[in-house]
Amino acid sequence: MSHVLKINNLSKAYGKIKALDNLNLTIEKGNIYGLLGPNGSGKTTTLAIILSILKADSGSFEWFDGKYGNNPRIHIGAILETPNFYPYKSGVDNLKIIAEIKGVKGFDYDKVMKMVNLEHRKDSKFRTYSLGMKQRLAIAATMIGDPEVVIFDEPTNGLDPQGIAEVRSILKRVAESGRTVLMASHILDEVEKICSHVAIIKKGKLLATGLVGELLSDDYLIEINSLDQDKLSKLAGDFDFIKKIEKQKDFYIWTIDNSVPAEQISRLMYEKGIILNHFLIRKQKLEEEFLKIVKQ
Amino acid sequence: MNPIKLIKLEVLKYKDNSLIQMLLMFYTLLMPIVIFVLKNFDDINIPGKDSFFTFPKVWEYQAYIGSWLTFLFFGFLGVYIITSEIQFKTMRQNIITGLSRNEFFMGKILITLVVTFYATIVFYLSTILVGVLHEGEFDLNKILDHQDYVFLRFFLLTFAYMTFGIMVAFIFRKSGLSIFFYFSYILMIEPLFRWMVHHKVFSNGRSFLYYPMNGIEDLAPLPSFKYIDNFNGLKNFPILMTYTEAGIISIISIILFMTVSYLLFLKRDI
Repeated sequence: MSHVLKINNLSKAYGKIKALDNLNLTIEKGNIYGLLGPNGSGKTTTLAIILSILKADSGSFEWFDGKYGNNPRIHIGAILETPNFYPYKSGVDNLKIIAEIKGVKGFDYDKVMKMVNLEHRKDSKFRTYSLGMKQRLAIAATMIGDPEVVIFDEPTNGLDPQGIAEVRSILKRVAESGRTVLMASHILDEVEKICSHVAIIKKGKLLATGLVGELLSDDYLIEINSLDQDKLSKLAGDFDFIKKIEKQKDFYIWTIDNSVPAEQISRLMYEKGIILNHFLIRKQKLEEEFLKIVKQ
Repeated sequence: MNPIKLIKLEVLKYKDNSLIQMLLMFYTLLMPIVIFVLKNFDDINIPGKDSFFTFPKVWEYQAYIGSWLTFLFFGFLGVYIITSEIQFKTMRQNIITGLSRNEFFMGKILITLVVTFYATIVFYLSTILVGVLHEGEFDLNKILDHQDYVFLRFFLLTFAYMTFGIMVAFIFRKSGLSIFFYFSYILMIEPLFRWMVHHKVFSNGRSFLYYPMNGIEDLAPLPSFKYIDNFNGLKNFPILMTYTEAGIISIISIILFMTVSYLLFLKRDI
């Protein structure tokens, strides 16, 4: 078995709003899959359907090639939207309920609470946890039963920068554990840093899928301008490393091959006798690519 | 998951819940105590008063008091065990974690049966206590005589109130609205409909008695009704159903409540 999940033509509408529109997706074992899309694109709806919380209007999905029958969720650890636990029970007692459902005995709760930095609050009631603690407890819950697949839905939503850093560090450790991971997010940086593969969806449709490195290439952009714009423009045509030129009001945007560092370009301009009055390296190439795909 | 494990899971969920602890504690304390309020009416001429505390009539009075306590406490509990899971979104998390919808539903019905059994045991033992304390002796024959299957009747009425609460919770999903409808239906909607619409408009006969809540209530009616049944003289039939009729209506109602609950839970998005 190499496919852990196959989604076939999944569709779901809420009244007139089409949340999913014939979505097809296959996730291979061992991949760290990012489900990327703007808010309202259908990410959570997709996860809710494959976790049997919502019913699709049409289409189908299959976990683990049907190996576990009608209830494969015992082998999946998942958080959907907000962390959902019994507020009057302690953190560790909530994990015991998860273990009871999964039929797990002798689980090392102390170890997993330590992994998510909650060992000092394991006996505190869930309602006393901050949002960051709640998210971390939810991540701990996904580890119970040593699941084959772990699913996270916007795991850093609503967290402060410290919380985000903590959760991402935990997610990276989970990703490195060899499990198959499916993570829904609208944060490109998060997907790029954690995931190996990405599927981009918008308005319920799959726009692109593939390796993060291929789909969201790491060519970068520079803003560049000179008092002698004609000379600059002619020179740009001679360079192979410039993949694309866009004219803005006060400067050009060059898409540069990642193999050529920005300082080399600056030096090159100087050697060719071009005095630059504007030179800026744009680090948001990833966002540009994403927006480009989403706008298509 | 086997039934024992499902019950164990439900117990694990609720053992730290202070609301449920208080509910069970209040019921357990009040069940043997409330009847002693009637001691204040020793000087008043109430039909059947002499038998409030003696066997076998103490079974009827305790069952009537118990029916009010179960209507109040355990019907509310039926609503709570569903609406709280919806509100906390733990119903959804239970399914995500690996419980099937059938297992989740079965767990709720099983814990309802366990609570019903507990409530019935408390009723039964407290009634024996009240009767024995009043009579000053423990006579097993007297205790067991003329019970008219009171254990089964009390079990049925408690289970019926709880499953009605569960059904209302699945319909409305919000605790406030569910509790409002639960009380409104039992105290006002059904009685008004039976007397003002069914009895006046559709039929003058006994059929207006065959409603869910009326059936459940007639499993443990106010014993004084039997002494002051002027209705029989007016209409040629008693206002109360027989225990057998009430039992059948209650069982049919319970099946209806559970079926509606199950279908709603199965079909809806969580």
